[in-house]
Amino acid sequence: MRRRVTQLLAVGPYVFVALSFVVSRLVYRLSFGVRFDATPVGFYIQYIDPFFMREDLWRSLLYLHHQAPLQNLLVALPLRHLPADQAFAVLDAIYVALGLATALGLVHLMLRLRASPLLASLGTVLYTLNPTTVLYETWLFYHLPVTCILLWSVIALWAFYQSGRARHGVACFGLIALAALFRSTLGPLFLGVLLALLVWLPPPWLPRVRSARLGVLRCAALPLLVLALNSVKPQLVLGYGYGEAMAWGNLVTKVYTELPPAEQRRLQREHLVSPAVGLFCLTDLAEFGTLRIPLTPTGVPLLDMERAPNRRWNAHALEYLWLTQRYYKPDALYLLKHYPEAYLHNVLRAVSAYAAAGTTDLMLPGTANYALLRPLFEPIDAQLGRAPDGRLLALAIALPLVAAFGFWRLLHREPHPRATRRERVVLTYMLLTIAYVTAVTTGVSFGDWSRYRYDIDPLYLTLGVLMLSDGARALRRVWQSVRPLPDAAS
Amino acid sequence: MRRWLKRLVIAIFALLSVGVIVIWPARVAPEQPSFLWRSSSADAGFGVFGSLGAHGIAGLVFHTAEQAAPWVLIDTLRLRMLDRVVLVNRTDCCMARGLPLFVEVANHTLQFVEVGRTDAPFAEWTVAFPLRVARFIRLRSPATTILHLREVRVP
Repeated sequence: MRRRVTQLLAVGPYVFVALSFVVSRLVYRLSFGVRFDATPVGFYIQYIDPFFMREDLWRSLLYLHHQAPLQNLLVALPLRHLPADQAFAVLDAIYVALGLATALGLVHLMLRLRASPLLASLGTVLYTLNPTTVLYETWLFYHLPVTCILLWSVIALWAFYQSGRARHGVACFGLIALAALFRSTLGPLFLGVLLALLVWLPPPWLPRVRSARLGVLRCAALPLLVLALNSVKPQLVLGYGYGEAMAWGNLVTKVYTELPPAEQRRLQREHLVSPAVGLFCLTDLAEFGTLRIPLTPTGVPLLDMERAPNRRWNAHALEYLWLTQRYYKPDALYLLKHYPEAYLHNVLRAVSAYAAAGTTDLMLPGTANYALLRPLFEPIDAQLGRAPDGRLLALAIALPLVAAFGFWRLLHREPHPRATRRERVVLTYMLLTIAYVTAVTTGVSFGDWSRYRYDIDPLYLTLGVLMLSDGARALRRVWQSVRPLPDAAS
Repeated sequence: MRRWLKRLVIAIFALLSVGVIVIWPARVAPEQPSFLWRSSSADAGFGVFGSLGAHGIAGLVFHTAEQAAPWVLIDTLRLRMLDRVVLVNRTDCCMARGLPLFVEVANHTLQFVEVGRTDAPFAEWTVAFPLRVARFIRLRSPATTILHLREVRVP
């Protein structure tokens, strides 16, 4: 009986979270009319047009040069084999499944890190019920898959350090590689940093440190190889670096938009920068006008076609790479060299904007679900102290606080050495992920920073719940120590 | 290893089942009847605007007067990925009305793109076209004629 109660208590948080998830999703869909929004496939630059998905998928993925391939593959596979409405229904089901996997993973990670079951359940349910979470979950974009995969990579890392089994190590590195194949921001460098950490502090279960380190390297070999191949692929097939068409243009916009208008005009007048600086680097090629570069067709439709047959502009054409080399790269280097303070100012603005609500974004307000959920998330944001630029006072305080708590917990020693190493590695990985994603997105992207934070929100939340749990335990200890001892005579 | 794989497959299957359970009620809930339409003119007891769920005489959902270049604009209420539209004509009579019929779609900008046309009478016509983002569907005829249909389905 006692064993059964213990078992029930152990699965209780999972059942509570799963039930909350299912009920809330049904309410959001049936009462608020929220539907899966597949329209990004039709016009976001992150996607190749469905024409290429259906007619020339594998070659298009091979020549994809500024986006990671898996999000396009995820959409393309059902679209190639099913009518559009059924294909999007399949993707809808996959996204709901990913949402549930994220919620269950979140509560699981919190419990593994010894958070209070009550606080872990409440924290996860609040995250699950949040309309912003629903907005991202019904948005056919790479954020939900990346969020879910990153979260489960932390859990796999935990399992690796608990069991020392190679399959958990392979799962951890494989999941990180998978996330990086969904999102170009994460790359071999990210995986390499984790690998260095694990080689430095290998799982304590193997008899000798050397063999443990070799074991870690063996687990990471294949995922690292796949990521490295994906990163060098554009260099091998096109002769240009991975993501160049987007990175240099973003850097130009980051610096140029920080300059006063008079300085911008002077730079243009004196031909110190090209006229392309005023254009988004992946905008419709027709907008480049006389700046355009005539190219000899390569025979690859994705690289050659300026437009898909439905007249949508093709943001993956080869000409963008040439425009980058001719205009954006020299402009970015010039601007970074002469206006480093403008770049730094933009980075600081980006870091500060990380505390904005997840709905503060350029693209989300154009979605149908945004309009449906706005009456829900706006009052919540107002309670959290929303500033006119979208930043939330509560987040501005909470994010640095929980990150600082993470560092504190990392340095705080526990009595059990094995538990210490496991927790230290997992916490270090979580903090590294937060730091890496923040650094790359604020350092390169010119906007939408709070959207990028969505990928690491579960990690922040986990740290926040751990902080509250530790705080509650400390308070209980203080209370017990000051409570008067019972009278021995009574 | 095999047990681990078995667990993974079961977990994925269970998660996807929840996905289907959650999306299914919303997918079978009627959405199309609430799609709105506006027309260039009205006749046979119809107004110049209405919804696709309201059927009038002969089961029609809209009916323009006989006029030069009549049109009907359907609002599907949100942007969606469209690759076909199904038009169901009346079959009791008058199937040749509304010809030639042009089908156009547009997003929020209302810049219409032609996705299909027919000169032949039809009972049911599936207008298939390359997948695109659209919200509005416009049916128009350049002739002096009447536009009426029994159903317009957006998958």
